[in-house]
Amino acid sequence: MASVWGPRVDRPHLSPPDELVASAIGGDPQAMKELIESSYSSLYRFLFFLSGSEPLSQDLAQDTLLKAMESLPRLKEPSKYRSWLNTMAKNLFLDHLKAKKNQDHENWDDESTVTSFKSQSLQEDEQQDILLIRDTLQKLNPDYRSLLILVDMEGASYIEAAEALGISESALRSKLHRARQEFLSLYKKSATF
Amino acid sequence: MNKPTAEERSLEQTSKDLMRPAAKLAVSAPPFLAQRILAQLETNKQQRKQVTWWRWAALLSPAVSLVLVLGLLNFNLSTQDPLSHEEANFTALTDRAYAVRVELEEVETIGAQRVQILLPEGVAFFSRDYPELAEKNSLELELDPSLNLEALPFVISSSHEGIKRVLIRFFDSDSNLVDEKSVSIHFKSSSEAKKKG
Repeated sequence: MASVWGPRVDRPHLSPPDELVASAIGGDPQAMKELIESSYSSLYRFLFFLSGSEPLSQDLAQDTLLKAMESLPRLKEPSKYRSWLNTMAKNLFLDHLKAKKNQDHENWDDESTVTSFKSQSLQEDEQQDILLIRDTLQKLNPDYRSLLILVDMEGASYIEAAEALGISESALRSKLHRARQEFLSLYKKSATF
Repeated sequence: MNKPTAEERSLEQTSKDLMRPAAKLAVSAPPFLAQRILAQLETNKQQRKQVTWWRWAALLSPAVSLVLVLGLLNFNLSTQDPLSHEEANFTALTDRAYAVRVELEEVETIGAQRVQILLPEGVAFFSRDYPELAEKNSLELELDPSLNLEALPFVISSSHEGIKRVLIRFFDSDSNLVDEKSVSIHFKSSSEAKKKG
């Protein structure tokens, strides 16, 4: 049955409609279900490149969505849902790091264990590109990583990204510039090997 | 805010171009994820009610001087203080903890889903395990039938003398007041009580 919110398609780089978020905030179970399903892909992607680990990304994505649905009544502006969700995801990841005292490049997967590659039938060169991006990002600190994922990968606006990271827009711009410089430098080194 | 320089714009574009393959990593939510999350939400909600109840039950301190038993529809009256110009249901001492027990036999009959206890000035909830409850002048609890509560106990103490009226209110699922009971307790200081012998 077609959803009242439109066909169920993955919406990379797009926020769920405000009406859907508002209904979910109001406790509509169907809207909450739609919101969970439409949020998962970009949330998983954010966490995959943030954590570098597929199993951890899956766990954290589910934890984030559970926490988000519990906290939805506290979200006053539906339009801020995506940045709010990303903030929650990032904080859960950082909590995980503190709790496990892991190095953040631990649990790297090679292409044979990233099952989502197989489910999407990605070509080998596409897989290599994705792994190179992931591996390069893991060499950056989590703040830079989050910035690059949100803005350059997910297409978040500067305002959205600043809200998600709890910094001003001007601080975000300068941080983003440094993050890009560092990322490109590391990427070029990795790509030449 | 200053406009981005040419270098900044170039860097931005290069970074975004390099990140583009990452967008191909698009996965669908695992099967039944939404159902599992919504089921977990419901479980967590039920557990919170349980925790709230046990926190409430911790109000029943073993240091009880007197048990004041209130039936939902009837009061058990103790001896009234003849010197009081206002009738009190019970007499008690200041700075001593007293357990109040509200029978809940009739709650389903009146459709009560939530109970609220309001304390007057000078009277506080008493709990050794949760001393912070003393700062509250009201407490609420959802009456979940699955908890099979026969009675609602709480412990109070008054630092002030005089007749104090504790209100117990019952609300239905729409937050309508369906019943209200009160108990008046005449608190006296122990020195005053000794004078009267």
